[in-house]
Amino acid sequence: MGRSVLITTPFPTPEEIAADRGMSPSRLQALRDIVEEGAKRNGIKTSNASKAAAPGTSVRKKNGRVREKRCTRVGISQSSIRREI
Amino acid sequence: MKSVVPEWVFLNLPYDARFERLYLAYIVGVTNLGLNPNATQAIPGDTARLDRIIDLIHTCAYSVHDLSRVEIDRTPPSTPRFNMPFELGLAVSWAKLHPDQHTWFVFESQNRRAQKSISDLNGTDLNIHDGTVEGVMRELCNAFVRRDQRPSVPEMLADYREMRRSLPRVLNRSGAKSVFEARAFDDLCAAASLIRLLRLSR
Repeated sequence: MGRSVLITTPFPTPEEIAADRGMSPSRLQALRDIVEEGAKRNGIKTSNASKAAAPGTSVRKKNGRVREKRCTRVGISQSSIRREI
Repeated sequence: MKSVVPEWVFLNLPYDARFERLYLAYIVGVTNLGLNPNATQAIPGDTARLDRIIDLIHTCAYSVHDLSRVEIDRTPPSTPRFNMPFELGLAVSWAKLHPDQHTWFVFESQNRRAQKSISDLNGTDLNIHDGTVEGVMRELCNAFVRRDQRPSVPEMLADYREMRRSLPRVLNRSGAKSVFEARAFDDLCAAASLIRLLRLSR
């Protein structure tokens, strides 16, 4: 066969994928925690993450001058992710 | 007869350690295209395995058959690995009888290798992934086309890397020793969907 097919169905949610497999909500929540924690550990901001500026971003001081924030360990890992990608 | 689930894909893949990278790539890639992966791991041990495989093929709207590891098994007694071509045959016959219910794709690592091992496939367009994660993502995008929310290959690769980083903890949570166990497969499919949502929310 090997021809292309057009997919028009909506994206299944994680809850739907879990339900198809008989996974409990608590098991899905544990996976969500793992994924979000992994992203945070790598310096990737998540929707539930702190609203503070991402490490390494610039901050405008009251006098209008812009200074770079000091690079943190999280910031280093974030830049390494960018290099990988 | 069971009804077809339009977003279900039957993944007919080899389960060996050398294939782990591509196995994860299929799960992440298929999930990123808005489809729901299914595989034979989900088949309980106490059911007639062949009946369940046939049921799975009948329920899935699509199947992806990776023949790149169809080779002689080194473990004595040396035998060819017939499961994947056999399941491909089941899917082909089902699609022939019900062309509006099932579409199958053959993935290979090398051009013309499948034509040599299964010459009956001559004239069939194969998806050649070159044995790479990027190749799997590219060929999945060629096979399954979306008009809305279409992911790019770099986005899918980013999700794949995120999955690899989370993998030890996901396996630990599953209590699985390898990605090929049924419970790990379920968790990986759900995790792939969560990782995609996380990327979109950034």
